[in-house]
Amino acid sequence: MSCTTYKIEHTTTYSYESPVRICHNIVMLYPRSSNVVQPSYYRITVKPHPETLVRREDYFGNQLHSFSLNESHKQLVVSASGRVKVSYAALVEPTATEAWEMVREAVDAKTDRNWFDACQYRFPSPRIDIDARYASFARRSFLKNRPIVEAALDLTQRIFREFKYDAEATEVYTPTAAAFEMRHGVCQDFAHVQIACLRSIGLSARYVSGYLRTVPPPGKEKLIGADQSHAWVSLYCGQTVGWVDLDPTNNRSCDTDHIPIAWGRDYNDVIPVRGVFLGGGEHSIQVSVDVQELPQAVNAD
Amino acid sequence: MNEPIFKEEAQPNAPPVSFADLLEQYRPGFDHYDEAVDSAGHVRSSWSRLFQRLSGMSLPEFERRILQAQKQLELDGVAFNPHDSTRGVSRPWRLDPIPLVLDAQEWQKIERGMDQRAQLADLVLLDLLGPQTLLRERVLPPEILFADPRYLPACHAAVPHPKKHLHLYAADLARSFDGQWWITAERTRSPFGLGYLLENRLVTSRMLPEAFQHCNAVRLASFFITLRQTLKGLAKRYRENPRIAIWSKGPGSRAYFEDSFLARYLGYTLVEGEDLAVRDQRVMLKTLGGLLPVEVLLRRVEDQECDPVELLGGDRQGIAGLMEVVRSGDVTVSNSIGSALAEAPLLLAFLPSVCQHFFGQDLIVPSVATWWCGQEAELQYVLEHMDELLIRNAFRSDDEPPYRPSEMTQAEKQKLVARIREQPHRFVGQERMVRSTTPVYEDGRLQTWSLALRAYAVAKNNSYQILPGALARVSPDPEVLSHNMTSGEKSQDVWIVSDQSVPHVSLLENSVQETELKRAGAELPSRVADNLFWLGRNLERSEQIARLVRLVLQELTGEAAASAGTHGLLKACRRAKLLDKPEKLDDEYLLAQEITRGALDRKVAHSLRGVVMVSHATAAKVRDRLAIDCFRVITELRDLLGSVNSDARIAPTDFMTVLDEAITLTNAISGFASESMTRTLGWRFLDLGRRIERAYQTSQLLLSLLPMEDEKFELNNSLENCLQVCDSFMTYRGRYLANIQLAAVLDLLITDETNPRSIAFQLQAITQHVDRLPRPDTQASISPEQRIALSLSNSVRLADVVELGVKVREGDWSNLQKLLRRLVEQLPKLSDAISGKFLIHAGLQRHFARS
Repeated sequence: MSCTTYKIEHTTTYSYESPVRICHNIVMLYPRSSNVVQPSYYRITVKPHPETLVRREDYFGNQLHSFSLNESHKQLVVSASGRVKVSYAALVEPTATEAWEMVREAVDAKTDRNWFDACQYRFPSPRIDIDARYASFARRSFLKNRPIVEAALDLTQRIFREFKYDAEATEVYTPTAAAFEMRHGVCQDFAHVQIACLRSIGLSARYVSGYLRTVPPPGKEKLIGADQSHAWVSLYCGQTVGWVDLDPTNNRSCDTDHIPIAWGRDYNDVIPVRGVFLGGGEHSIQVSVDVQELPQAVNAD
Repeated sequence: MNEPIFKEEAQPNAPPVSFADLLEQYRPGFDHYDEAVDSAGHVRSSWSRLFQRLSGMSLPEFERRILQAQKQLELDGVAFNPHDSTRGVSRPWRLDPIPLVLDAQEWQKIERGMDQRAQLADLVLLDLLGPQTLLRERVLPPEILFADPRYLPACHAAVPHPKKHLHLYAADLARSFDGQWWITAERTRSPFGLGYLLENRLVTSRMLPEAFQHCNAVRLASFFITLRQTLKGLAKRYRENPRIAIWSKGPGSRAYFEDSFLARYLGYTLVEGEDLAVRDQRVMLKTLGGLLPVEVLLRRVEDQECDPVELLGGDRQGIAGLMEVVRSGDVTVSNSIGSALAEAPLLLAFLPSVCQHFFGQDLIVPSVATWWCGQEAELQYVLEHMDELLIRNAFRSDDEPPYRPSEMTQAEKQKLVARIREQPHRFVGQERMVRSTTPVYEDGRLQTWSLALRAYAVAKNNSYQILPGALARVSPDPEVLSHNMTSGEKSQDVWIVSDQSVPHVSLLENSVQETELKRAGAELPSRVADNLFWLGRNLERSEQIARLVRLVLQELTGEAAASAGTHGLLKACRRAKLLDKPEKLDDEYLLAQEITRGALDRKVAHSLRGVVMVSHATAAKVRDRLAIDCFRVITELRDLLGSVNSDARIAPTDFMTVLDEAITLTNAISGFASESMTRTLGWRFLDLGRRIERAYQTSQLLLSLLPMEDEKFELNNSLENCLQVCDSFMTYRGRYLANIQLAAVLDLLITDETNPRSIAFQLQAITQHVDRLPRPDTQASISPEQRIALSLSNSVRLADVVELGVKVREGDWSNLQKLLRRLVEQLPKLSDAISGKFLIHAGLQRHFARS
């Protein structure tokens, strides 16, 4: 079990050309506690100050905050900051895992201990359809009786190799099918594509949003705010192994560099900041994410 | 032999002369259950009273009543928009004159079955959107929730108080050969059709009043009284008199007729998404008097369109932040958001076991046999018996017609099989219902058409009360009826009859009274005020144009031939854009044709036809605020102008007859406005629009008609024309006889505050209206709209017409011109000031871009 503690600062600034009279928002920036992540001293702040900032848990167990602003404003700043302790169990030996068909069957037959939880991530969702084209793409990795984690890592690698990371090619509402056709996109698209492939062959996969610690090039100092929101995939691998996180954007299984914040069926379930506003004219968004590793001494407490 | 040879044979086909003859010729086949006639050919006892009464009626009388009823339906504007869009052409609602009669005792079984079904559907929703025990305990497959595209996790655990998701429920029924009723589909989101059902009842009972009385048909009112009580019971606050609104998808949607009908019938405010906003954790109605809290929303809007923040749909129809308020219980949406889930055809396959699970009972009314392909054995069955089945989407039953493999080509069928095999859980196979038949009057005969029924239930305490009646759809082709609610050729009223006479419950009057007592004023949504204001302006403009065109056509075609004043009229026509050529009097008839064409131009909004069309469209948006008769007359006006074929070049003289009628109709509308509308804010905005428009048009007209810019046309003629167009000629004659005097005319048309056509009269009314518009108590000085109105009113009042007359005789028009120009310039500013302050819309809500 490896373990790292980070200090995170994530600030989103909306600037409007003309005043916004009203806005209603929901933010999903507060890390959900799990055996992987333990948040502490975490705070969500909004400027201008809303009268109420309601925190609750959503259907999937994520933490969300909602607020409305009734006073006229030309700038809205939402920030989330605090510490998280991330600990990942070492990845199981991929070749020693169950055959993927066995996992699928146990969930379908409802004999798997976690079948019900897994079921929720097994069907089409608003952003991810299932389709024969995804299935045939997946089958090239999911060969008959192949151990599930091995097959999944292979699929992760193929998406990494066959798809080009390209922030210009897609935007936040690009359909998964379009990204799949283009073989271009960003982390969100890669995660959607991989989930579509996995669900299309009957496996349960969910979408994870969070942060990735970036390591500066050798000799360069790390730039503050240069980190980014990130997204990856979590695949259900049967009751012995459980959920395994895979990062198709970086061709790896997830470790303590990955800090999950929320998960759901697809991006729509875990949008970091969503909302609608009235007025405002043109608006621009500035996002700054900073993920700093804290020294081991802090890890100790 | 003088006897006709074919007498014997000819008799069955002899033209029927009475309803009894029709009945004599009604011959249902023996392969269906017929509702009216049993297999031995005898009229069923429940129908005998109806037929007794009808038998005495002659066919011409029967036909006459049908025509009258059809006319009533048209004027009430009962139509179907088959698609939820404005481009879809709405088709008229066709009501068959023959009601469907059902025996009260037989109906009791359906009632018990409906009650059981509604309770089950509610329990299923409470579970799926709650603990999900049905899934965990494997009573239902997980697909029923997680694979349904309409599943919205955000709706989870938002349970209203009292703990119930379904307040209204509907089911579609069909009867098989052996007389057994089956449920073919269920409606749990916002059951459609209650308004049509009511309209059917109102029209049919009026068409056949004797039969209706004689049959002891059970009245419907009790159901709607319960509906009102149930909705009232959902309010968290103001339980005595909560604000309840019908949340409609707007005039473009197919249910709009029904929404506005129900709003008026139940006494609720009809609202659209943009009328509502969330403030401080409450849903508020945006009204002229400020924001007013809403306690209960009876919605028509789709689940995912309800809240653009959480459900990401419905940018136009939705209410941002609604889900949070629903969760806190501060507003109740009926039926609960998310309740569409229980409509999935796949649920029908599992209902028997769900019924056992909850009640330990069998279904009282069974469902049409349904096989869900998500199970291996069922999939095999469906694939092997495709030709005998309908194939449906397992999750949606409405807007998608079912597949009929028996009518498909081999290739199409293979394609369908491949789709089913690829994602079996998305399909169900359903038995093709053999439906019962019932008599329908079509082409002068009673025909045997197939029948589909929709029955309704409303929550009452711990069970459901069933509407004692139903919506019947009939069609010669039974397959058509399996599509959805809007399919079917015709509709019928449904009478549940008993031997005992029924207590008389008045339909409309008794049930509606309670609400709207003290809140009639400030309640008005800004959007409605806006529409009423423009309705007033457009109706007035229609009248003015009609008067002007009528007069100019008279001049151009009449025996007096063009007088010297005609120039002014042509100038006014040109200003009103009815004529785009310079006015030359070479060929008067050609000019008359030109103006006729201009008035009827379909392509432009400012033609008479255009303005009338806009008036009607605006009226349709606020029809729940207008007297029924008033809307009827506006529809007549539209139909009058709509029926004139402009391409066929109607003769100007014929068009003058149309104009006479149009002017009568516009006057009738004004009559309704002044005599049938309570003096609420709504009326104030309608009248304000009308007054502003009239003052403006009159000023424009005087500027055009009077020879101000050293034109040579003759003054007396011009003055007479002014009086004619402004409908003040008779008044003038009464006062001054034939002596046309400039000062007297100007007084009557401009400064006489007793003439309802004068500018001064309009300005006085306008000033009174703007003084009474809602404004903050803190406002110290007068508002901009008050200032404009007052200043215009004063300058008109202070104008000295005698002095003006003297100047004009000296050839100096400038003072009069200045006064009129000022009016023409300031009145639109007044209109803008009012719009800007009271009628401005919030604008479209937008989503944040990538975050």
